[in-house]
Amino acid sequence: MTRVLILDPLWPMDVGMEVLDGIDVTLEKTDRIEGDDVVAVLAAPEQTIPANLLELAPNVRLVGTCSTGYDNLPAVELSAQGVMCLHVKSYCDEEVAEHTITLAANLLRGVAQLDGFVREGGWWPYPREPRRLAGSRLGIVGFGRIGRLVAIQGDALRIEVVAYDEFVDEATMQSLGVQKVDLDTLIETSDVVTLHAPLLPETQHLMNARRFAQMRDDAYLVNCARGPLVDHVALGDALRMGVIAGAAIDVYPVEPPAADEPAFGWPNLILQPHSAWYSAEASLAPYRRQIADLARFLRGEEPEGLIMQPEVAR
Amino acid sequence: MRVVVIDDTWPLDRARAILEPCGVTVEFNTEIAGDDVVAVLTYPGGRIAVDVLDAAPNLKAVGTCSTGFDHLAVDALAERGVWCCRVTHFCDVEVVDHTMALIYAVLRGVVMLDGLVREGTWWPYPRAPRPVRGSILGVVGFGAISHGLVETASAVGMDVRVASEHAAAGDVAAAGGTLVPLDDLLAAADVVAIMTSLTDRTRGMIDAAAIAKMRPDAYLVNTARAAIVDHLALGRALETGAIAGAALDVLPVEPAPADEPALTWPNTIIQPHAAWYSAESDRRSFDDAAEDVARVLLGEKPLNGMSRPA
Repeated sequence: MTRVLILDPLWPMDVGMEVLDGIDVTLEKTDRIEGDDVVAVLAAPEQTIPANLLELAPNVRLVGTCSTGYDNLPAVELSAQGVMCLHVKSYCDEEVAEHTITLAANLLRGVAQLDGFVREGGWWPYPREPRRLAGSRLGIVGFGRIGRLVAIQGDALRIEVVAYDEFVDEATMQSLGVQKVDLDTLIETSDVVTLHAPLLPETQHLMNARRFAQMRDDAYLVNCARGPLVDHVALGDALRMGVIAGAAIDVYPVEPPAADEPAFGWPNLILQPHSAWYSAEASLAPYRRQIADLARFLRGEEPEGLIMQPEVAR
Repeated sequence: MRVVVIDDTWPLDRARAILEPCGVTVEFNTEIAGDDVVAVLTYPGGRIAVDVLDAAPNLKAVGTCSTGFDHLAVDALAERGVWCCRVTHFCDVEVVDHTMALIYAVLRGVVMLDGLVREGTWWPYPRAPRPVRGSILGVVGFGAISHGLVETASAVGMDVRVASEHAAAGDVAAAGGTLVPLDDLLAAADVVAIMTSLTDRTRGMIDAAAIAKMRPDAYLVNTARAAIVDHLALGRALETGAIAGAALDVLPVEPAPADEPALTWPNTIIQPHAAWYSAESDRRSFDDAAEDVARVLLGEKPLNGMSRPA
């Protein structure tokens, strides 16, 4: 018998399974990896796959994480031992882009602040003056898949879009109606700065006290990428001292934030529960993709979500 | 000759730049009196009745920095030789922008999620964000602002349906929408946007029966006029979960009194009648009114005069 282990108590066992019809395989939820008959392991993002996987289950040839990020599985080590390592590519790009545009438009129009203002008895004059979207400048830091979708939607709303990405050429940006600028120009001139860069040692605290000081005092920051891209303490200082006009963050240094998270007391800040990725469809897509890739693997085809080619065919 | 400005928020330097070339002085005054007063600049809170002519018999023009003009005695003043001028289309872009921001806000749940994070909620989300692209936007009415909304919403990939008694299907299609009966729109839409003007025909048009046709997961966005929607029926629908939520820029009484019931409705975003606003539209509302008054003083026909004086 061929077994596949699912290290995820919440995995929906009724999603996407029809692609396995006719394949002789048993899927079982467990929190233990063991057995000579185990050929594949699929894991939740919170589950860490050990580097000594093949000592526990010597015949595993496929390991997958149900997420785009794969810091929970030792892909280099396992690939070197001939194990295919899978992640889920871009299942929520559009959701993140739409959430980003939602937050940018809501900051520019002051929606959340005005809602709170009315509930405190306010009406006119507005404490937060709504701005036109047309002619406002959106600066996208990181022009990958999500950054490009943000640009397309911003353009549809008649927002002027500029972007910074050292790995993307000017012509590619121009083809999407986007002006390529350097990071200093982007930060100094944008009405809204939005982050869409990966978290790497060199992008950690990309937005720090010096960068906030460079921003216009009527500008906003949106972060739907990763918390550590922003120096959280510096963001708090910038908001409290009015160095910038406001921010919207979907990500934090620690998630979920603790009850004493200082951001709860900062002004002009929209807080989101790491929800930019979400739609009903996107919430199931990683499971569908992993099961579809499992079926490809079991039929001897190449999975779509391979992180890297395994080095040895064992 | 004098132009009296009775709105203390009116930027006088701009009014002077526009009107002084006509040979007048411009001043703020709460009193409209004197043979030398030739024009008045006012606002929705500044009522101008025909008896203004008792104290200012040589009045030639009244300009208001608003589209609405129910505070002006338009016909009676016209009979006495006075032009009343309003401003139009000065905030079409802003209302489209704000309505789009509210449509995004309700579909992605951002305002509710902000409140939930502050209460300690994280996952699963009690208010699940939905996709914008592919969602159905039902637009009630097809005037100039609505036309812009249909174009913008279709540009971001929404499936836009329009209900209007006056629109031609071809014009709606050219803007990127589909003309449908109101009942079909209400039954299909993820978001219903009220975009029609308030008339005797549209007053109370979205009543309890109309709201009952909406999907339980649908949202209502109103940046037009509160009286188009039966306010108490909307409140009941929100409180019973008959619809998912609402975003209201307009209320039956503005500013909202402390006992405004919408302040307690669940899943409701309230705005202080702010959809019209940007620094540009704010300036245009004053400048366009002053420029039309200048046309009258120079003996020209105003662009937005409402009733030709006898």
